[in-house]
Amino acid sequence: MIFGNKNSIIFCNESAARYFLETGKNILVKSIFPLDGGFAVYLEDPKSQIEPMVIHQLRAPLTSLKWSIELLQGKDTPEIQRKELLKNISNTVDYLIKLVNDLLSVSRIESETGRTAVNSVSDIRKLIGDLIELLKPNAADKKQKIILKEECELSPTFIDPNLFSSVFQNLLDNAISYGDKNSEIEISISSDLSRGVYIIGIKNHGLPLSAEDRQKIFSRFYRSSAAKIVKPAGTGLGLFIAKSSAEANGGSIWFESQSGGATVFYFTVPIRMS
Amino acid sequence: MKTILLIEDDKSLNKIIAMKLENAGYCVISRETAEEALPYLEKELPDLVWLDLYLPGMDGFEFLKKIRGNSKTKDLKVVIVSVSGSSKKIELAEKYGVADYFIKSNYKIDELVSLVTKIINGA
Repeated sequence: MIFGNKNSIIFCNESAARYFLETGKNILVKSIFPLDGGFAVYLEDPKSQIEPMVIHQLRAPLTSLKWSIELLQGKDTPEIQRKELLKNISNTVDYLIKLVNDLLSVSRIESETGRTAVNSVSDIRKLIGDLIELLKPNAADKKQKIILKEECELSPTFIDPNLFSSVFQNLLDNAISYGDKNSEIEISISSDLSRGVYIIGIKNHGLPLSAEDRQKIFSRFYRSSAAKIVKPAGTGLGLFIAKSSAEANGGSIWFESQSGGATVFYFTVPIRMS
Repeated sequence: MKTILLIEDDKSLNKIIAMKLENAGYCVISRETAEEALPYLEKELPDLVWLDLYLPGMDGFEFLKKIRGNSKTKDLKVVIVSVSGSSKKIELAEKYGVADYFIKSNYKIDELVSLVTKIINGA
């Protein structure tokens, strides 16, 4: 239970204090100490953590561009290497553009002023349909089949459609990118009326998650070794953006590994009719 | 021909560094993680290890600790070539007996390879 908060300090009971320490949010916790029968949790400003990471993520591709250009300017570089270097420059620039776009998404989600006010209901069934159509060509390239299983009807609900799209698109894109060729991607829609949420699941057969992956998969810039092989140019921000977007919309996100190498990512959307 | 074991997780940088070192006449054994580099060291000893610090899984310092603790690899010449370097990191690197510590963006690739050549040749 959280009693209140002021600036970067949260006043809460013991179980809430444990939650901050144990759920992976501890990266933001500066210190915790008992206070007035409860606990005071001092939080790091998350923005103060992201800047060193962003600088680090930019340095390697910028060095890659610098050295590629130096080699191209050299007289001794053979023609076949020049072609490779130009391809390298092109791929690195694409990566930097994606990184900047992802960082802008993170910034918008984390900034309260960046969010649009939710004044009307969103037709999430239509959003899901549109996003599936958008990503179907990518799935078709890998001969993957997208299957939609609807266990309940989705009524329009008051949520931010951009945030919803951000979660769904990142999860579906990952399922396609890291799923095996010729496999099925199963999207399930269900509800838990006792919790007042819709639950959307995206299941794929592909890269198994290691113990380290399970711990860090929603962390900024984290990419498993296996993911780097399948998709070398990823930014490591997709699942962080998905998590942040799901939570900003009042929901939650988690994953389950199933037998046979399948992984299902779930997220919830609150059912709000007003 | 002298051999350099290159450990660099960024694929693009790994390619560029390997390209430049090969053009300079070295045999380059390239790996993207420390875990992938260790089996090579069980069979062969390179003339120098070009080591990135920020690696997935085992990082550069853990790798250094491991090779310095092995009688076969404890005297390997190692240079660290990293995107950044705090004084603490440089101090720790010196404790592990690295030949030098270079911050990538401070050097042209030609300069780095020249410096590494001097180190391999015992300067």
